[in-house]
Amino acid sequence: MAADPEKSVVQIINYAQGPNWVEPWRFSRVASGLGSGFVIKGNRIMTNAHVVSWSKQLVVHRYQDPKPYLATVEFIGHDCDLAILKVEDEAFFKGIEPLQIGELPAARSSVTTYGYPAGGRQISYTRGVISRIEMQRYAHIYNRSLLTVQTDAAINPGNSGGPAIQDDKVVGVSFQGKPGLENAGFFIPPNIIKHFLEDIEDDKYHGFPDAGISLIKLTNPAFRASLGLPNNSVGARIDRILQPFPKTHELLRVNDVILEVSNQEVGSDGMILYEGNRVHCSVLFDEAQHGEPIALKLWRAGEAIKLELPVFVNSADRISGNQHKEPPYLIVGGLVLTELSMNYLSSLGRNLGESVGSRTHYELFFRSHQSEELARAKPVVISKVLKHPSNVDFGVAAREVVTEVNGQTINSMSDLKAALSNSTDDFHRFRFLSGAEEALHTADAREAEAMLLKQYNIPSAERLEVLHD
Amino acid sequence: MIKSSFTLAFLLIAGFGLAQARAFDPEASVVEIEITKKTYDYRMPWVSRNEQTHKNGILVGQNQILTTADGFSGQYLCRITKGGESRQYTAQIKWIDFYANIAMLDVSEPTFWQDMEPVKLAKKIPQFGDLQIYRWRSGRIEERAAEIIRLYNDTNKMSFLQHLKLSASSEITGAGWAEVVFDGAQLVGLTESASKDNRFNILPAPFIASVIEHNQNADNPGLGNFDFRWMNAKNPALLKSKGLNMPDRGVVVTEVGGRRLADSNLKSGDVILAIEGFEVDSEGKYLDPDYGRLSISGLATRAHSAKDIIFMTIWRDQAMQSIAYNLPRAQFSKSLIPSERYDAPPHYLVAGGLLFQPLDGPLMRALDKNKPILLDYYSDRPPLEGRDGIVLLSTVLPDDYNRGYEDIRYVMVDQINGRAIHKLEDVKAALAQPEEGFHRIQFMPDEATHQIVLDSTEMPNATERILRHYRIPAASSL
Repeated sequence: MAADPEKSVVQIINYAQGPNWVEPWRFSRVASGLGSGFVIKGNRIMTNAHVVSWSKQLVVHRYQDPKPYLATVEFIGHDCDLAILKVEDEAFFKGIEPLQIGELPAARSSVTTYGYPAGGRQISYTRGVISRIEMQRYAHIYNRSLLTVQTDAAINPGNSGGPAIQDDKVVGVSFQGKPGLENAGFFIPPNIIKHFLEDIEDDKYHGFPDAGISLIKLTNPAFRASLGLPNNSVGARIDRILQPFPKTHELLRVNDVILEVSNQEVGSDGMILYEGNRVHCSVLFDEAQHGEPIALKLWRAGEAIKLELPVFVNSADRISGNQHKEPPYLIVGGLVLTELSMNYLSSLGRNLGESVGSRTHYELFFRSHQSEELARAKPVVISKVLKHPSNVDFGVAAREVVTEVNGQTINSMSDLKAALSNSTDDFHRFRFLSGAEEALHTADAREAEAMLLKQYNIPSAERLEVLHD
Repeated sequence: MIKSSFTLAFLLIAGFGLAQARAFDPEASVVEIEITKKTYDYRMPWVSRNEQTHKNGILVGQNQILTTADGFSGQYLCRITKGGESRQYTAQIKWIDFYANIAMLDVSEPTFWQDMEPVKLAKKIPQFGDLQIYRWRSGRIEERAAEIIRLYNDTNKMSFLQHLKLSASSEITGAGWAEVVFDGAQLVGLTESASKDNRFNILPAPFIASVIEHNQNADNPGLGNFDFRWMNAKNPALLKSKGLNMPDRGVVVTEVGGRRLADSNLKSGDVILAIEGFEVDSEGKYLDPDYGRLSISGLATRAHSAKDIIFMTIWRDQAMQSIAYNLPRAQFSKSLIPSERYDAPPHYLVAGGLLFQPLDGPLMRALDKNKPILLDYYSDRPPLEGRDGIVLLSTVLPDDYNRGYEDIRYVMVDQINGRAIHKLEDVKAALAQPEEGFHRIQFMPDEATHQIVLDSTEMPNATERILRHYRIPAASSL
């Protein structure tokens, strides 16, 4: 038990260098970011993933200790915005009591947040009340909603990764605010923290699994009657089964009505009563680890049935921002080709539709609905054309999605690599999403490549394997 | 001494010539037009408003007042003043061509035509030099100088037609409303649009003349349009990869039939080398005998009507071929999502509080920032086989009947009660055939929500109640 929680709270300085998504061999200037963390059992520091993303060097400071210690990322969960750091120098942990993870705090109860917000070097404390507990989108990679606790305690830049303490135990990790909401800060609750810690027990972080369903409210009496359901407030409807979730496709049907999840009744608005809070039933799906089953009670074809649905992490998710893998690329004849990703689009400007046009936007966000194969596809885009006499009149500009090379459909960077080795004559032929087509003379392309790599100090013509996972 | 006298004489003659350049009297030819019209709020399509537009026109013949079509959509009263007088004459529209942005008006009162002098359209327009712009302002003629910037082929302001345009610059403000543009005594054109940087576009006289000729023809075939997209073929490797060794020649067809105007014997991947005998360069330009280097996009309207056959030389399958391209008529309604809709109130249907609307350009523009990007995709995507149009469930007017669906907005309808929905009439027909007491409404597969169900027996009562509650005058406008 930590009598003085502040002694377990550390300041983190992250010297980070993110990749350039348009010129993927390049990295940004080194920038330093401030965050907070806290020591938990096992000589580990817990913080937010976004505090330590793209780190080149991590420095941690103990409470009121001027000595900097080097730290490294041991585990990182971008979906839940949590990370574990380790410090090689064991002296760092001397005299520090690890903080224990508590339980989900009750609404209206008080918490104190600890951290090192920007504006000073000393630890800062703010006391607040738990305003509400509900599912919120986690802003770090913005791909899903998880349980979140809202408080009126100020959570400012630099507070991220610091603990929210109640009765000397951690009841949350400060992680985000919300534009437009005053006096509102959010922290990651113990349920998510414990899921993360349990996940890494096998020394690998898998992530939060996804059932792959779009569950929508079933409050219209006519829709309920058409499914043979009584006009009460129980059961939400599966409107769509997403891709690629083969097990879910095998076990569930569109218009199945979920009556219970893990033996808890689901309301017609999709909500359950969860530790005194009315939250979306997906909170129960988030309790399962990768591959574990969830007990469901369904209403299908006029009768109630029970089944167990194993849930899996969506490893094919291409929409979520990538915060830890250098983007793959391949340069051919001065054309720089990379994966069409959320990061790439975001780097082009705020208005995604205007940046690349609706067809490309559709390719990233909608095409995956059509089949499991398309959901696993990773479209390839020209991110840049490095000009050379042999390509100066290439009639397709950057931001175009490549659909075919040398007659082969392109669904990934490896497809591209294979297709480029399949040229049967003196040309590489390209087709694009817009309908445009172009060609490069293979010998000229090779010559251009050698010259351009040298001219722009590009270490390699390709990076298809990511450097670390 | 003799030499000096000769120079003086020349200057006097030249000066006299300049004074005579204004060989027409704008007060006797230029008129001011006031249009009173109905406009609609496409987000509440049963709501109409009253608006007025003021613009200019010019007499081009007996009972012929030429102006642009811009501003006439929804008009029900058109009045004309002449000579700066306060008296207004009621005008009739002889014909209006929204595709070309040209309208011809008439005034039946003989007194209007007294002392009025029609002008002639220039047969050929200048490519350089100065022009004069005229319009009425507060009962007096305003004359402004303009300078030609360039002649080029571009898209019409009111449609997707491509044709010749003239751009010019002038200090005139608020132009773009059919101000008349002269080169001396010749009518060069009417202004079509203006930008903030003192530039404006002019519909040139030869284009106007061809539109007048078409519209005076009882069997008007309309203007034609190239229903294909192309890209430059500047990259020598592209042509060589197709076995064509003709550097700096041709453009490559990238998409055919996007507007679904007609079947075409062009194919994606064809290289167009010549159109009507004009060699096409690798930037899509040809050498026009009258106006020099211009984009081939204007060849569809240069001396042609819809249904004409245009011969093209193309490169396909490693061989030179000649093909006959049947020039299709420009028609908004053929597109999956018509880009424009003129002179017609918006169509809609309210059923059980669900507002259904055909998806078209005016509705897309009315949605502005609320427009889902999926709608842009459907308006730009390659042709969708087997679908004539798209119906949007644009909003739900909340009522106990449609409880649970209140937040649904701007979703494209795929089927109702098992019937494919292409048009608003399909919605009406499908709702007449419920399935076992329910209406099952299914949305396009890409939409976030897939389907909803409503009670069919309750729908008529609910519709009546909702119409009264939201003060909607009619359940539909079809």
